[in-house]
Amino acid sequence: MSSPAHPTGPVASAPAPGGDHLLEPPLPYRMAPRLARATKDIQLQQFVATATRLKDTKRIASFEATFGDRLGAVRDLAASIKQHTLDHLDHYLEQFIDNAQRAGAIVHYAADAAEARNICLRIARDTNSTLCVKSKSMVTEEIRLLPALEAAGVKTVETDLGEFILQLDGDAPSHIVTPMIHKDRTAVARAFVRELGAPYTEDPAQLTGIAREHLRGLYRRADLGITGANFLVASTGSVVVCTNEGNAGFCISGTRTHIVVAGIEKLIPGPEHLAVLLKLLARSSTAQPLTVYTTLITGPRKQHDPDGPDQGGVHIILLDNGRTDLLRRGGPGGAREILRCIRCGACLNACPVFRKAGGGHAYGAVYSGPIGAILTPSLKGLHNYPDLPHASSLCGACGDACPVCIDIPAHLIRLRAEMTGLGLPRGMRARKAVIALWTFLLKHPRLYRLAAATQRTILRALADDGPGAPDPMADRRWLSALPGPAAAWTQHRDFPTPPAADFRSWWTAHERARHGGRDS
Amino acid sequence: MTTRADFLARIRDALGRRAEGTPIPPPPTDIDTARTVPRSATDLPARFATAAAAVGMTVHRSGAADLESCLAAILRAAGARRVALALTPGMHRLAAESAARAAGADILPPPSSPGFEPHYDADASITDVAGAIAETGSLVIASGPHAPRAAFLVPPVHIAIVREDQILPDLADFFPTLAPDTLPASLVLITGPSKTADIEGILITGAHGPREVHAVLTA
Ligand code: SF4
Repeated sequence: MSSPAHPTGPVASAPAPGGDHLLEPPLPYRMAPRLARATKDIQLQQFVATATRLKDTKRIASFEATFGDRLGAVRDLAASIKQHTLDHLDHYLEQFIDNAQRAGAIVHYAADAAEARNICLRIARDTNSTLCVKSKSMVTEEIRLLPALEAAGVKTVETDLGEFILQLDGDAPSHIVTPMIHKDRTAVARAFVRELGAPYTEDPAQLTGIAREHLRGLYRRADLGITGANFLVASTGSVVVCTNEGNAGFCISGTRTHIVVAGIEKLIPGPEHLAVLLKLLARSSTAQPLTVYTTLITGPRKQHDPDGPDQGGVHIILLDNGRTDLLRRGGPGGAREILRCIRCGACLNACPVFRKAGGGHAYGAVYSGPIGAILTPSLKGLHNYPDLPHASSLCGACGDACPVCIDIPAHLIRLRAEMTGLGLPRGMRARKAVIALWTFLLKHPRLYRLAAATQRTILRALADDGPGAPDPMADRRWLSALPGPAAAWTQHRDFPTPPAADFRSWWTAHERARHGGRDS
Repeated sequence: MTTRADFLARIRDALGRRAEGTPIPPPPTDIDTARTVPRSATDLPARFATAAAAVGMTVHRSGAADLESCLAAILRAAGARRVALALTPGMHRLAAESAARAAGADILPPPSSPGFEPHYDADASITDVAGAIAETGSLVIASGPHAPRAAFLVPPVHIAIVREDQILPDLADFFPTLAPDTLPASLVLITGPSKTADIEGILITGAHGPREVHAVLTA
């Protein structure tokens, strides 16, 4: 479908079946198979653990150095700005739309992903675009825009270095900010040899240079640029886009047409609020004082501007796609506050489960980690993602990390409760039976003691690690394989037995010894 | 097709809100809570220099008289043969033009739109700025008739001339001044050279944009 004006070269846009499969799995999505693979992949665990731990440490240090004990107040302020905007979102959207239109942008309204895709395709068709350069954006992943453009004959290239490499590999992002934490340099080197015909090198600087030159060749020919937005400013009609690499600049300003796809939760009242939110966003994401390129776009280029998109060339697509359902549930602890999220990635970096799960792929959706665990089921249905609210130890690290004070653990618990209400979770009946049995035993002390003694004896008889330690209170033993459905537990770790004697007998013996001397 | 009216009606309904145009409480305004540099700070050039260096920019200080030689020295060190200029007519532009001549570099014509040509051929650019932020070491660059966006983005070396009186203390002093009627089509805060850490978290400069950013502070 390429016109002679746009000769096709080695454009890096092989369809990414792997990517689609990872982010759009068959529903309902169950985590177990991917978790099983990830927990066995030592290398993956190391990549993800190193990347996230480092970011987590740096974030904490940078906040400490910048705000000290004022951090709480700054986060509260950021949270209240976002919450206020969400509580009056209709008002701010009206204002934003009016101002953006006044600046010359064309605003579109997409109720769902399909509508957003269709609007993009229509713009691409109307502008005869054949080569699209795209900046990293979670919302375009959410609406699966790239495959749709490709299917319509518009070559589309991810320009963020990490996303570019993932596209070459037919892979999907594993982190909402640093998409390639699950890969190392050798994977990049191989992809560049295979897909770009580049000489093999493992030097990150040289690899970056290869991508830079390749993408510059594409920027020169591209006729359509697509980005997301970090913020939409109501009082000015501006779109704010943050990148470190500078690739968004080419997508925003180097092509005739620029499409912005933005969720409605990106609104903020005025530019003054950027002073608070940008400070938190950059530090939470990467411990920088500010993202290298913080771009405010207000309409297409002005009459005497030498470059920038044409008059009528800036399109802003406002996306709902399930967000109003979250908006509906306001009030303290309601789902609405999840929409405060500024996608900084801090909760992912802080999360021990995210690390152990080998990064984002285990979450089976675009938004991963703790925020994904509450956002995905909220947007796509609890019945479609029944495992996600359980993918947490509720340690609270995510909530502590969140710059806009989203109480992620509380939402996880709320979602678990909702699932119980819906009778949803797997093994619900079995769980109920166990709890009923437990309740019964607790109400009957003698039976309880008998049951405890029985299970202690059986488990210790089954233990397969040799004899226990001589100290009766430290003599836990281990089972490497439990029978029946309990086998799932011992697939990845051993099961500890109870000690030889229970607490009650220890206590009785202890008291007897303590008083024994005096009494006799 | 979803219309503006449908789209907003759904949202209004979800919020359980009354009719359009109902007054709302004002948004939070205590932006100063997040301030890190006091409004009254007097050592702004020094603070800017420290912050800019911390994010990987090279800072030069130059008197008005030796601006030209300072610019020429940077161009020579970069081995620049072709230079893009993005400066409003005035003293800085004259200094930049003579610096380019002194360094033996050609001055490229302004870029076309779309496509940024011929800036892909530039070895360096010299721009002025609309402002600078001491807190973060950021350069503020506004698009305009003499300020193509290609200039700070495409050439591998970007040299920005910053007057000391353009430096604001904090982002909290900058953003509240933006108003819809005076905003350029593109306003960019640049905080360091183009960077990526996508490969194993190793920091590389010059991902897509400039590898080097020089801030020349002048009176
Ligand atoms: S939930 Fe909070 S910490 Fe997590 S990505 Fe969103 S803003 Fe960042």
